Amino acid sequence: MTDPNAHEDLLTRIGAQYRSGLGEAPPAVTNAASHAFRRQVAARTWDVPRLMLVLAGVGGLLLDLPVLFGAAVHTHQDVAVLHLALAVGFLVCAWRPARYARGMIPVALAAAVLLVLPTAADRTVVITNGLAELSHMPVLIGAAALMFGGWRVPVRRFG
Amino acid sequence: MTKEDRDAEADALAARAREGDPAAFDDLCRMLRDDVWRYCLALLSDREQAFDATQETFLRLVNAIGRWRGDGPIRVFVLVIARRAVADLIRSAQRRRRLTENAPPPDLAVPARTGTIEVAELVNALDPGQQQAFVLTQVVGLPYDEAAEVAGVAIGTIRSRVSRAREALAAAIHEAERN
Repeated sequence: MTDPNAHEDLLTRIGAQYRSGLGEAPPAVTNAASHAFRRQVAARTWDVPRLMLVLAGVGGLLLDLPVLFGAAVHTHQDVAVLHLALAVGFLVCAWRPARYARGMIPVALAAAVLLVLPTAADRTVVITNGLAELSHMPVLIGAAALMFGGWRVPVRRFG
Repeated sequence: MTKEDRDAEADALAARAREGDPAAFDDLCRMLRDDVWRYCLALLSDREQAFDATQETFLRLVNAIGRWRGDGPIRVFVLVIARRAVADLIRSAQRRRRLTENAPPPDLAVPARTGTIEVAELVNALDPGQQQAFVLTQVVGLPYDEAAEVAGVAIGTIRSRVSRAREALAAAIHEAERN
């Protein structure tokens, strides 16, 4: 048993037999990792809908924070508070869309419809307020981004 | 395909996965899962635990792949993660066993037979360090320097462990054949 070649042969033979006894990995063993990887990549991707959410959030904050602190006269403060709440919501959704966007969709859509309907019904309001009606734009942009961002379907979970 | 070719292909997939390519990540997992599985099963001797350890290894790889710089084979990088996952699993199993004293003994892997001698029994009877060195070099097929990196020891230690494993196996076979 001192022949080195015989020892190498022995190791190789036992290694091969032991290896075949261990078998192959069950294919499902990497499913969870594949899913986690896709979720991580999606969370890192700053696509158009997420950028629109950032735009809506930042735009809403810029337009309505001055109103809240009395620097503007057009919008009533409670409307400004609604706008600001939505703006913060859009920014949170842009930060972690997989977690928050789906829940925000009904709120943003309801706000967008309810803000647009009175304006569409009463043209004198638009004429009187003019460009000030554009303060609703961030809400409309945010709602559109949420609607078409692909977050309406829940995240699929394994196990 | 040689080991060098397979390592080059795995490294190329890892580089693409690091850039966020999910298909490359899937292919990489498919390519390495058998090695990780065999390594985990050899160390744990229990299929259920080996499944958990292998799954945990690839889950950790999701976050760790950004840290792989390409200065060593991705296969070694993943097997190092597997060693840590196995160690963590053994630690948590020991904690659980202390809490529930009547835990059943682990299932042994189904052994392959060489005449009257069971290969798995021979390998499982080795000292844990020797067994790990044997599995990394003879089952996974790593060269000594890469096996040393995975095991976290010096290359000389791997060499001597493989040599001692070889002697122990030869002696065990000799003994079995005599009986």
